[in-house]
Amino acid sequence: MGNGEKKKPIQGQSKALRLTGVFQDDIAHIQQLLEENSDVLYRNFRLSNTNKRAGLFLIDGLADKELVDKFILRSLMAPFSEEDHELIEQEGLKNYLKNTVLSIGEVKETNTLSNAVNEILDGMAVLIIESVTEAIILGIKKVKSRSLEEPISEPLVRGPRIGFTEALKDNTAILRNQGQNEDLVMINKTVGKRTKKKAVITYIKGVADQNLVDEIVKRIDRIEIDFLPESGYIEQMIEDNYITPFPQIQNTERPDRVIGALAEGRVAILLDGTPYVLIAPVTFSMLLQSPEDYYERWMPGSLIRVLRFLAAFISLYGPSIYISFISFHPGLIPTKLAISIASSRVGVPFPAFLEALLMEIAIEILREAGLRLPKPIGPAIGIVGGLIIGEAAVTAGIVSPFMVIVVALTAISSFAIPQYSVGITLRMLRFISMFAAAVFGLYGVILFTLLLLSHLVRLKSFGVPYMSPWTPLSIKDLKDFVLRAPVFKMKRRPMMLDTKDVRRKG
Amino acid sequence: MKKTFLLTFLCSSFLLSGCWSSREIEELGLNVGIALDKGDKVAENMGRVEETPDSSGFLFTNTYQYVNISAVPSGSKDGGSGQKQYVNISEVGGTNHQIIREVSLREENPIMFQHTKVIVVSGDLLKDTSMRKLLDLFLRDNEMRLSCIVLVTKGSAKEVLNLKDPSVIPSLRLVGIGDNVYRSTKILKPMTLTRLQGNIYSNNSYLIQNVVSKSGEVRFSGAAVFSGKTNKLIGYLKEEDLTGVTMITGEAKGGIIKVNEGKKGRQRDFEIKTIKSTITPKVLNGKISFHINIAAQGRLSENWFLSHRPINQVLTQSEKEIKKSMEQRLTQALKMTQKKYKADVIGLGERLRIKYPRTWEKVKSNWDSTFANVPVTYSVEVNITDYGYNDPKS
Repeated sequence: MGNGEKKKPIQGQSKALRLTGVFQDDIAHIQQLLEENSDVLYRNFRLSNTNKRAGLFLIDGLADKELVDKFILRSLMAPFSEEDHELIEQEGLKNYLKNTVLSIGEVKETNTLSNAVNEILDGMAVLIIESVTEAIILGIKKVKSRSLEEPISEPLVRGPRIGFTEALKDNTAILRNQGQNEDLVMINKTVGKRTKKKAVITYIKGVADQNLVDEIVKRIDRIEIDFLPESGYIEQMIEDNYITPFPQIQNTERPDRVIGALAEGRVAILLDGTPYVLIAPVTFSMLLQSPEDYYERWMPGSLIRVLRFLAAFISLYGPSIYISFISFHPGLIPTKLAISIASSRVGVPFPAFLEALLMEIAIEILREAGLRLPKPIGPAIGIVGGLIIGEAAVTAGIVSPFMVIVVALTAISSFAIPQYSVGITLRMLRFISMFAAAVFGLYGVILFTLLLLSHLVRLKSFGVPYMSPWTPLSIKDLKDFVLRAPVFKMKRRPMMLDTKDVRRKG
Repeated sequence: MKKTFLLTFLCSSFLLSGCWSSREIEELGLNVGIALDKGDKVAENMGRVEETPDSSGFLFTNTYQYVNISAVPSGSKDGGSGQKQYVNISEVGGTNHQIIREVSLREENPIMFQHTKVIVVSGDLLKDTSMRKLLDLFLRDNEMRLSCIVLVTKGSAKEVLNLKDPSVIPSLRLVGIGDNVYRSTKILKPMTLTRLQGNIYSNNSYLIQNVVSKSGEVRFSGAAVFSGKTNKLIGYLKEEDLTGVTMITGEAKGGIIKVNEGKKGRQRDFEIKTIKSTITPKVLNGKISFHINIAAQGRLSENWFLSHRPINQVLTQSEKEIKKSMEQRLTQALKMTQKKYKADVIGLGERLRIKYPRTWEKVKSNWDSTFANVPVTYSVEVNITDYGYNDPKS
């Protein structure tokens, strides 16, 4: 529909303008304000047999025309009986219409022009009646939304196959539909200066820490930006620290992930127009977890989680450890491996660091290209890029086969991380780690790790330490860290969230 | 401002340092073995402009074995190229470190000793130079791993590191043979630099495996005996003598005891499964004596002596013979160490030190000569636990 850019600012002088009740003037004013909007429909008609004129404004495409025809226009134009006229005498025309004629669920009224215009642009039908100084606003908006599909960016083997959509109402409905819970609170917020968008802050009353909720509401209220196309804007506007590679707010399109987070005492933020819902606060371990860990039994759940930590480690340190070993500490490799690595590097013109950098950049480009390509040729390019370039580079003697293995393993590992944004974080840090390795070897890698850790332990997401429950150590929370305890053993909500109701079970 | 400065400082400290002390693995000479031989002024001279430096003094030859990485078959290039996978470089000089640096005049890649597996020392060199002096660099340097093993050869050490088979790296083969200790009683526990250091600094006499080479093949054959006082080689033990020694020291982990009943074609093999040696020192009125008890369990693996007696009798008979055979070896080992070399290489002193530290304090300064005259008794228990699927008689 794209009516976003058509919304004209209401000029200062007209803001205060009220409806006069003089039909011609009111209509003219509104039309003047909307004159550049070609998608506004205006229907001028006689109000039944009252001899009064009426005008209906609506946006073509946003309004449910069937509803307009059947329940607004038809009832307004059908002749009123004697009793009706008596009721009009008693209640006044406006109230009579609202109470008796307009069988529409959402009916509001306003007496300023600017409000009326805003409501029109929002997709409401606005009814102007001669000699009535209020405009009647009729909720006949029909939101265009797609069907609920499986989230593309976070598929699971086991778990609900439903994902959020772009329609805020659908999303809140999905959350409501997850089970009856009278404590599930949804606070409506309007964000954006020029283009106003609806956002919903949701949490479970009696579980989530009220200070946390207040803080999030405060930060969202403080957002001053004209336009928020995606929840990523909110994320960047309310996060604690902007000079960090680590995301402090989680985004997801999985309702089950949101519900899980709410139940732990976290807060979710939904924005109209995006399927990505934000979850705050976030800790590092959360970014390596998948809802599936909880759906599977605890042993496979724990093992897969350990595997993911391993993948994160490889993804961060794979090439840098390789560089350190090859360029600085050949004595640390077992002799036979050292011999075979050395022999495979005979004729490679670059030092290990340059070789690794070359291949890592190549694979990053490949990844980016694969993402942008039209779907049908994506896999083909993947094969060309991955296999052929990899193979040819080895055959041409530019890189050693070991390097290809390391790079491939690292790339695979970075995609084993369930959160896309964390995958990017680790990939960024990987390059820094490679530089550190190239300069000082393993010593550099350790220096880098120390820097990274000292940054991480200082980082907070909405007051919750990022590395918790590891630092500060909370033994009870370790039940759901690298390993996951059986569900019946996890009796308490995470301590770090300072929830009101600590007990989860029993 | 402060932050910018800090950031600039951090970045520049990383970027300005470049690739500090980095050396790619393929640009290093992966040394796997070293051979020390007597010096030869003429043969190793490599047509130098001048004479060998300080040719008047003591000279010896070092042979460094590199891995020839371009000859190592890798990945798709299957099979060996027929080229030798190693390069041996010999240089003459007066000290090890000097010789190492001489090599830099001949090879572009600096030698790296972190993967050095074996040091082979020629027995001729050790007869008049102490082990401590010869290996001083390697014992104290931080580059070489202390797990590197030391071997002695009666012949030329250089030849030991030269095999006919091009697909094997000789140093790795030597280490690999040492790992076969569970299959033969004639292999000593590898003398690593760590163990050697212990022996040298505590003035213990010790044995080092002797290795011989002939026409591009190597064989572990007996051991060289070193005197604790001088750290010099005083003689060799034959392979058969070594069996007795490893049984006493408990280094024997497995192997075959062959029994020969005198007549031809009447031999039996006893394969050791477990063998345990207990050395009990005794001090009575200042007189030191030892008792060694050896308990072996194993299987009768081969039997050429067919009889029609019941199996139990056969086993008892065999056990008796095996025991006799083992006792002979013990006698021989004790004779060699006590009488011939007068060097306690079987660890009796160590037991005495642990059990009677005060007595040890008195005798330790002259232990080897005391050892030569100490009465040692022994007893052997043999138990055949297994004789295969069939009765050995049928």
